[in-house]
Order: sequence, then C-alpha cells, then structure tokens
Amino acid sequence: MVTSKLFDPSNRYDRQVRLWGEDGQASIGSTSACVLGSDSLATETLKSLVLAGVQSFYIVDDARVEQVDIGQNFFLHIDDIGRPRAEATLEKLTELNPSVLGSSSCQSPTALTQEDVEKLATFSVVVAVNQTEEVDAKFAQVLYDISVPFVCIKSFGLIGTIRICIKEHTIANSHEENPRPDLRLDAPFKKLTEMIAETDLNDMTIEQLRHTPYILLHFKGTFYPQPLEEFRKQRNDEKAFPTTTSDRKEIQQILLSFRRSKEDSGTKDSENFDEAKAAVMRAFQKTTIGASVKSILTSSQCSTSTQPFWLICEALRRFVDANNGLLPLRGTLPDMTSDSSRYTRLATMFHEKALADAQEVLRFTREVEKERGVGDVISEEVCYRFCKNADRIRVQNGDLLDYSRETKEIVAKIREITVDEQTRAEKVDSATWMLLMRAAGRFKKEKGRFPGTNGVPVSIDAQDLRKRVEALIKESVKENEDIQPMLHNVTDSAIAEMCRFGAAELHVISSYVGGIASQEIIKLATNQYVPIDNTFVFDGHTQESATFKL
Amino acid sequence: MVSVDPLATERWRSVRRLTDRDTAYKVPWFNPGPKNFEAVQNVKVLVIGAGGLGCELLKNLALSGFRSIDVIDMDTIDVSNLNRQFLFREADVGKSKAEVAAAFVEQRVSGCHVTAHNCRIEDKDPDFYRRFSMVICGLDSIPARRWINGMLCDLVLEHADGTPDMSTIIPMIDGGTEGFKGNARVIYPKMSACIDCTIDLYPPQVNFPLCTIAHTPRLPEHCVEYIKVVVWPEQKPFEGAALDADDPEHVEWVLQGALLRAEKYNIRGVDRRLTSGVLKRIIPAVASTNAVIAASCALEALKLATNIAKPIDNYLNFTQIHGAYTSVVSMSKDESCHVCNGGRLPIEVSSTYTLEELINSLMERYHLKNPTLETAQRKLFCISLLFPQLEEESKANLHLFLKDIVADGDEILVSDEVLARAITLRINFV
Repeated sequence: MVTSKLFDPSNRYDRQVRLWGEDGQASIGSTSACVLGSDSLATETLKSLVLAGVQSFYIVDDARVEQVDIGQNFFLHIDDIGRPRAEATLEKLTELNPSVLGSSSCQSPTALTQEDVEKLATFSVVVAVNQTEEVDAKFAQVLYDISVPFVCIKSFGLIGTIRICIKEHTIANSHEENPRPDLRLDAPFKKLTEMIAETDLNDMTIEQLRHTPYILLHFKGTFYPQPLEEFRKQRNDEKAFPTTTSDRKEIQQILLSFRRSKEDSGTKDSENFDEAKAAVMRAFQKTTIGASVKSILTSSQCSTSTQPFWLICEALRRFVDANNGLLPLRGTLPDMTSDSSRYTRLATMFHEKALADAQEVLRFTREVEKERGVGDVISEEVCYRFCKNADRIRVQNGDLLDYSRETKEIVAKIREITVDEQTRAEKVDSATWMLLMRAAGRFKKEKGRFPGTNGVPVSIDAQDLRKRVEALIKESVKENEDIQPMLHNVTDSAIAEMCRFGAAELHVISSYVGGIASQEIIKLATNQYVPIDNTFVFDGHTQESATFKL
Repeated sequence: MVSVDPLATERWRSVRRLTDRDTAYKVPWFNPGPKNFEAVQNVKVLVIGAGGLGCELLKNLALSGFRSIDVIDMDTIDVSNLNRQFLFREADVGKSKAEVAAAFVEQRVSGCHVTAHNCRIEDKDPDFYRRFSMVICGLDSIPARRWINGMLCDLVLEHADGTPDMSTIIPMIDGGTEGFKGNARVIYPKMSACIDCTIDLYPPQVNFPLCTIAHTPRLPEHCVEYIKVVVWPEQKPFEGAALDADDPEHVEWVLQGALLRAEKYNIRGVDRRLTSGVLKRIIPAVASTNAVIAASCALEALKLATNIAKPIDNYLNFTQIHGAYTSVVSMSKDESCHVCNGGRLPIEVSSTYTLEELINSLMERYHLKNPTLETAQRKLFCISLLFPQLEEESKANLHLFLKDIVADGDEILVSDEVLARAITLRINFV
C-alpha cells in the first residue's frame, strides 16, 4: 500500500503529484488492475501503471514465452523462453516499483467461466489486451452493470485502438485549460464591494495608480465615473452588463480614457492598465454556470444517488438555489500588477469568501447525507476541493460495448467518407481501420490464424479478408442496401496492408498505445482530467489519431 | 501443400512482417526484403539523454532491432526520476544515468550493444557525431537542442554546385514532453526546418521582474525568488556555498526565509513543494507521456532505417489533458535561419539604425541572453566578467549609428551562450 508521506522533495512521486495532487496519488495507490493478456501491449500498459504506484495488478494469461516474444516484449529475457509468460513478465514489472503488488494466473481469458469473470469484477479496473470479441463482450456485460471501468486495447501492425467502457464516469476536476477566472464583476460580494467603494483613483499618487490591481480599475474611474457605471449610464440602464464583444470593446475604450496623460511620467505605459484592457474580454463575462455543470446539477442522479460525487452535487445544487444561481466562489485570483497590500487584501478576501461558501456547501452536504441515510462520508477537505473546482465537474456516460451496434455506426461513417482519389490512395480513414480490425478478428475466428501469418501470399489472404469485410458491412446495413459506397472506401491497398501486418506486435506501437491507455486508466482512477470518450484509433503511418463515441 | 510461416520462429518476426513485404503506403525507394532489417541491425544510432525520454528510447530502439546504440548523458540518478526513468532503481541513485541505462538494456535485450557516454554533448567532437546514421534527442534543454542541431548542420558538406551532399545528412529526431503534453519532430539538417528555424515555438522562460520580487511581492513564488536572488547572496549561508537546489538543506533554508517573507506580506501558499519547484524550475512529468513521445520518435527512427512507411512531415503535437489528441504539421524551413544557411546572414539596415536597435532585434529574433558583437577589427559590444574593461565602451557604443561603425557589406560576428556557434551578419545599408 502506498503511504502518502508528507511532501519530501526527494519523494519518488513528486513529479507526478504536481499533476494530480496527493489526493490523486492516493486514488492511484488504492487502484487494483486486472489485465487479461501479457503481450507487449499489456506489459507496456502495466509499466506506466506500476511506475505511477497502483496498489496491485493481476495478469491473466496462459501463453508461454516464445522466441518472437523476446523480440517484442521488454519485460522478458531470452532465458524466459518456455516459461508462463504471465509469470515471467510479472517479475520484471514488480521490480519497477517495490510498493506495488503483482500476481498472475496462468489461465486463458478465453476459458474463464461466468463465475470466474464475476470474481474478477472486484478490481478497480479491468483491461483486456488483444482479446477476442467474445472475451471482450463477456467481461463488458458483467462490468458495465456494476460500474467497473473496462478498457479494451488492441494493436495490429501499425494500428492501435482503445475502447473505454463505463456506464457513468464522474470527474471532480477536468483541469480545463485556460478557464475563465471567477472574478464576480457582475455580482461582487460584500468585502469586494467595500474595497471598490473605498478606492478613489482621483485620490492616488501616480505610483499608487500604476500599482492598482486591474480588477479595481475595471470598476473605477478617475475624472470620470467607473467604467461599468459609465457603461450603464450610456445605456440608461442601471443593471446593464456587457454581453457582447462590442460591449466589452466599449468598456475597453472607457478604461483607456482613465489613463493620466497630463503628468509627465503618467500611466500611459503602465502595465496594470494594459492588463486591465487585456483582461476585459474575459473578466466582463456574466458569472453563469456552464451547460455541462448545469446538466449535472439537474440530473436525476443528483436527487437520488448515494455516491459521494452525487451527494456533493446535490449539496451544490442547494447552494446554487440559495445563492442567486451562483456556484461557490472559486477563490483564486489571476496574478496582476499591484502593490503587495492591495493584491494580498484582494487575494485574502477571495480566499475567505470561497471558504465561507464551501462551508455552506458542507452544511448542505451533511443535510443530504442524513436524508439519504449515509454517514458522514464526505470529509471537509474533499468538500472544499470539490467546491474550488465546481465549474469543472463533468460526467461521461457510455453505452454497453456491443460490437454489432458499433460496427453499424462505423459502417455508416465509412459510407460518408468523401475524399479525392489521391487521398483515398494515400491514407486510410480511422473508421476503415476499425472495420479492418474487426474483419481480421473474424478471419482469425473462422480460419484459426490471422491474415498474413502462415506463408500464404498476401494477395490470397487479402481476398479472404475482403470477404469478412463484406460480411461485416452486410450485417450492418438494411437488407438490399447498396454496399458499394462502403466497399469503395475500404480499398484493396488497405486490405492488403492488414495482411502485410500479419498481426505484427510492433514494440513501438505497443509502447505508444500502452502509454495512452495507462494514462486513461489513471484518469478513471483519479476522477481527474477528461478521459477519451470512448474509442481511440492510432495510425502509425501518419501518426494521426481519431476519437469516436460509439 | 501446407503453407508455412517463414518467420514462425524468428525473434524479430513483427518488424520483418513490415520490412519483408510490399505496401501501397511506402516511400518510393522501398524495396521489400530482408535487407531492410539488416540495415536496422547494422546502423549506429545515437540517443541523447538517458532520462524520461531516453530510457524509453533505448528500450524502443533495442526492441525494434537496433543493436548499435550510443547514449550520452551527464546527469546522475535522483529519486524523483524513478516514477518514469524505469531503467533505474533506488540502489542506483547517485550513479551515472548513461551508464546504468546502457548496462540495463544490454543485459535485458540480448545481442543489443549500448555504449554509454557520461559527459556533456559539447564534450564530443564532430568526428564522434559523424559516425551515426541517426540522432534521437530526449533533451530537457533548448540550448542543448540548438547545440546538437548546429553540430549536425555543420556536418553537412556541400557539392561544388552548392547542393548538400546527402550522404553527410544525419537525420535528427527530437522529442520533448511536459506534463501531459509533448511533441516529436523529424529534422533533415540543411534540408528541412531545423530547431533554429522554429525557435519561436519555444515560449520565453518565466522570469519574475526584480522590482516585483524586491518591492511588491504578491505570489508565493516571489517570496522564494527573493530569498534566492537577494537574501542568499547577502547572507552567504553554508560557508558561502552556491545555492544548490538539489541539496535538501539549502532548500530548507530558502523555505524558512520564504515563509517569513510571506508572513510579512500576508501571502499564502509557500510550502516545500512550491519552493523546490521554483528553485529547480521543476517540470511535472509522468511515465505515460514519455512513453508516447519516445514511441513516436522511435517509430520515425524505424521508418527512416527501414523505409517501411513514410516518415511524418514533420512536427507532431500531442496532448492528453482532455481525451487524447495528436496532430502533425509541416514546419517550414526559414530561409533566413543562420544555422541552416551556412552561417552568413545578410541583413538590411537603414542609415539611422543604431547598434542598440540591432542588438535588441537580434535578442528578440534569436532568443539571445547576452550577445557579444564584434567586427574583424574590434569588439563592438561585450558585457562579460572576463572583459570588465569593455563594459563602459560597450554601453557608449549602443547609441552609435551602424553606418558610422561598419561599411556596406562588412560583417559583424554575433555570439551568445545560447548559440551553438556565432552568427555572421553581412550588413547592407538601404
């Protein structure tokens, strides 16, 4: 079990804790991963999870190490040939991090019974690596209903795919890049209003004016009334607030007119005015609740669920109701040119207001906990952190993995591909690769081997693979529907390429896809950052990727 | 007749599926066959850096069939490396990264030879770099990137007609990561966009203004910087030793000072993590991003060595903050790039252009820190502890018009710590 030490700069996890916090690290430290398969894609995925400090992992695979594994899998040594692959790779993986527990079972995932599958459902996450569709579907069915994340990853030559299967995934912090600062210019709280009232730009020295934080400049004027007041006066509307870009440009003009150009070394070039002007577009936005957050607060889960995420969301909803439709104040200020005392006064009042709001949310949380008959499951710390990130909570919903339904969607996409002949010849669309991956799986199921793997010329296997492609398309469309438009987009070159690949397990592709998959699993474990929703396809030819929601 | 897989027991079966068989998605000069894989096994490649990217690169190259790999890194192993630099163990802390990494890969991947160089890249001469077919960089510093970029450009010889001798072009694959973002690019020195052609891609380093640190601190970072740049030099703790951000005692000393300053100004947020982050300019890092970018780089290396697929053209961006996203853009060669263009840069100036204006424009254009400018006859501008006597004259020269210092067609040599080698400007008055 990973112990969360008091921060020590020599701590092994320092560089990653800076990305997901001690709380994120603790979540990782209580994550147990079950991995079906032990090929290089599996071990490359596990590598990053072990390094990150998961609690434990469990590998299920009956394969034995062969010569070809030595040329692909870093977690095997030439001396391991003949050994159970799950055991041999396990040893070298646990070496990466002494606090992680690893174990294995030399069973074939294909041979697992329903009962076996249900036992494995006690893991925090289950990962199926290059398994058959039957195995994927068997696990998906069980795991979907009990809300255990299930990740299916595959690679074949230069192609890799990841499918994340989870009914509902809640995100406590999306870590959205460039979020709007929560300044409340349209709804200043009491202490902020007081400070604004005290501020008189007329009664300042040049030095003080140059060091006035821009948030105050947005409110105040010098020889003229406040920019906002002036705006309102011009509109003849006391409650007016800029709502369009041109409104905000007006505010910028008003602001700039406040610079003192009379004195010699006035404020013409002062940074705080520049910052104020630059900030107008983002600062003068109505404080509203974003659509994703709104839909979370009004969802039915909010009113009934006993999951911690939903308990706090309900508390949040009650707070919003009681506070004029506002979320708890985030409490952080962007940096801005200012003298120390005014900046820290602002920073402190924002921090204190945020704390007060969070305390109110905590009171509501306790109410909700009582109503729904759960104990005090939410700690103060968790509540405050949730409130701070209230504008970046998200929820993702997914359907049960269903290859036949998903192929219908893929085939529909393939029908819609419209590219010129040259592009069609040079690049293969991601949807086409997805269909080809399924066709290769069918080929294996029906012929006992993958295309391009037993010395049969590629051209012959290509014909057989094309038959599977056609069958999949036919199954996905209405009877008598014309399949030519789809077939046109699944070129002979692409089919031949799949045969050329011959199920090659290229280490670099395993490493790429394993790297992405491991971080997705960490996102699922920590409820931070937004996971792929829900299918990712990588093409090593172009190093381009696509995401589908299937 | 029963078909038999010719590669059934071949260790390198997966790579050979691609090298031995034809494809519609090839580079025009691809000829399927075993020779392509022989090429992989026979070329010498150089990996620069044995850290987050370097460890992954060594693994990826070894498991793609490369077996003559050199790795160069001057650093030693630290505990904070262990969350991603997976060739190292706790018992290796303090040892040379290059040496431990090389030994590990050799032991694990039989038949692969990895030669370690525990030194700076600048310690190696052109003859060293000339030996390699490819250079793959996993560096964490822009000046280092510029240096190796300059070195590889310098190795390119020209035919009599001025065109580059292709046999002297050593492709450079460069990767970089930060948190959940990364990039990978392929550079053909003198032929395609180089590091300096696209120097503006790199954002300027965040430096807090001294007046803020000294007089109007607002952020916890300002408190730490104050102790670092003002208090430490004044008080000279630890018997006058230089501030070593890797020494926990030094970090503790700075932390205590920063806490006092923060208290004085009522600033929240100073703690040990923030302090060490500011002092070491720590960049957050995880194993997964390094895995992805190193895989991207190694995939390109495999393509270049075997021609199994087209290399990317030529700059890949990756981010995994929201979902996962990659895109490839084609960066253009800058025809006025001093590194790509044999080092002689024509520059047009008006008659009222001053030395100061020239220096400012060069600093902005090339991200210089403290340039020295000289002609064949004299040093025009040089602020250096090595030549204190030149400071006064240099400052006075700033106001001079260029037309009074040099003649039309004259050359000015510009050198700076960030430049691999000096830029030669050829002045044209217009």
